[in-house]
Amino acid sequence: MADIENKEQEIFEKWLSPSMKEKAPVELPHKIMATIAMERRYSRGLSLTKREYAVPAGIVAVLALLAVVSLFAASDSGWLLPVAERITKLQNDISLQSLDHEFIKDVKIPSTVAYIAAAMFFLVFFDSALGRFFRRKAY
Amino acid sequence: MDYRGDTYYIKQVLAGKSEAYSHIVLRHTDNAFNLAFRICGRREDAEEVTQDSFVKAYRALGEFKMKSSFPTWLYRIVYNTSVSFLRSVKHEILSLEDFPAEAADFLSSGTPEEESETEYRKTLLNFAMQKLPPEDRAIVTLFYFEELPVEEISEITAISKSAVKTKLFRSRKKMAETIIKCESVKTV
Repeated sequence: MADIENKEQEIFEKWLSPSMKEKAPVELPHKIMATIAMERRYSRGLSLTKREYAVPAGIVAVLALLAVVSLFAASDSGWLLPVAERITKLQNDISLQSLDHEFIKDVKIPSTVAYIAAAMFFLVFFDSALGRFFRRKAY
Repeated sequence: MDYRGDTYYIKQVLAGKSEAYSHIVLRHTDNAFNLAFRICGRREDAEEVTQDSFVKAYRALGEFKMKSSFPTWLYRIVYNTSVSFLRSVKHEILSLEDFPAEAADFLSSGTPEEESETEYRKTLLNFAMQKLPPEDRAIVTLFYFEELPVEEISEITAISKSAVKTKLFRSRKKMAETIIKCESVKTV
C-alpha cells in the first residue's frame, strides 16, 4: 500500500508533467495545411458544379420567356399586340423565297426553316456566352 | 513570435483568408497531438486523429461561438475524434507482456543516461495510461499535461465535475499499480 502511495507521489512529481508531453512530428502542421488546401479546392469544385447548373437553367428561363412572348404575340389581344404586329410586318418584309431546286423535285423548304436555323444559331451562341461567363465567375 | 490571439486569426479565416488558419494550426498542433496520442496510444494514430480534428475544426469554424476558448473547443473535437477512432478500430486489451521488452531491458542495463531514462518513463507512462479507459486517459492528460482546471475538463469531456475528480483519483492509483507491476516484472 505504501509502495503504491509512494509511486503515486512519484508519478505526480516526475512523470505527469507538461515536460513529458509528446511532441507532434515537425511536418504535421504542413500535412494539416495541405489537407485543408485540398478541402478548399474540393469545396470550390462543388460550388463550380452548382454554378454550372445555372447555365442550362438560364437557357431554360430564356426559352420559356421566348415561348411566353411568342404566345402573347400570336394572340389578337393583350399588351403585346404592337409587338405581334411588328413581328407580322417583319415576317412579311423578310418573306424568304422558297427554295426550289431542280435536283430535289417536289421538295419545298418552308420559309420558317430559316427562322429556326437563326434561332438555333442564336441559342448556341447564347449558350457558349453564358457558359464562358459562369466559368470565369466560378474561378 | 506571434502575439495575436486565436480570435484574430479565426476572424481572418471566416473573412475568407483561409491561410490564416496555419497560425492556429502551428500554435495548437503539439497540444492536440499530445491529447490524441495519450488517448490512442500510437503516434501514427494520433497523427491521423490530429489531422482529422483540425480539418473538422476548419469546417466547423463558422459554428464556433467564442463562448469558450478556442483550445477548449479544439480539445473537445480531438477528444471526440479520438474516442470515435478507438471505437472504429479493434481495441486491444493490454497485458503486462505487452510492455515493450526493450524498455524493460533498459532498466536492468545498469546506469542509464538521463535522456534514455526520460524515454523509458514516457514508454512506461504511455503503457500505464493505455490500461485506463479512453475517457480517463483524456482526463489525466488534460489535468496533468495541459494543466486545465476541472471545470474546463468537464466541459470538454461532457463528464460532471465530481465524476472528473473521482476518475482522476482512481486513474492515479491504477497507473501507480501498473507501473509498480511493470517494474517488478523487469527486475525479476
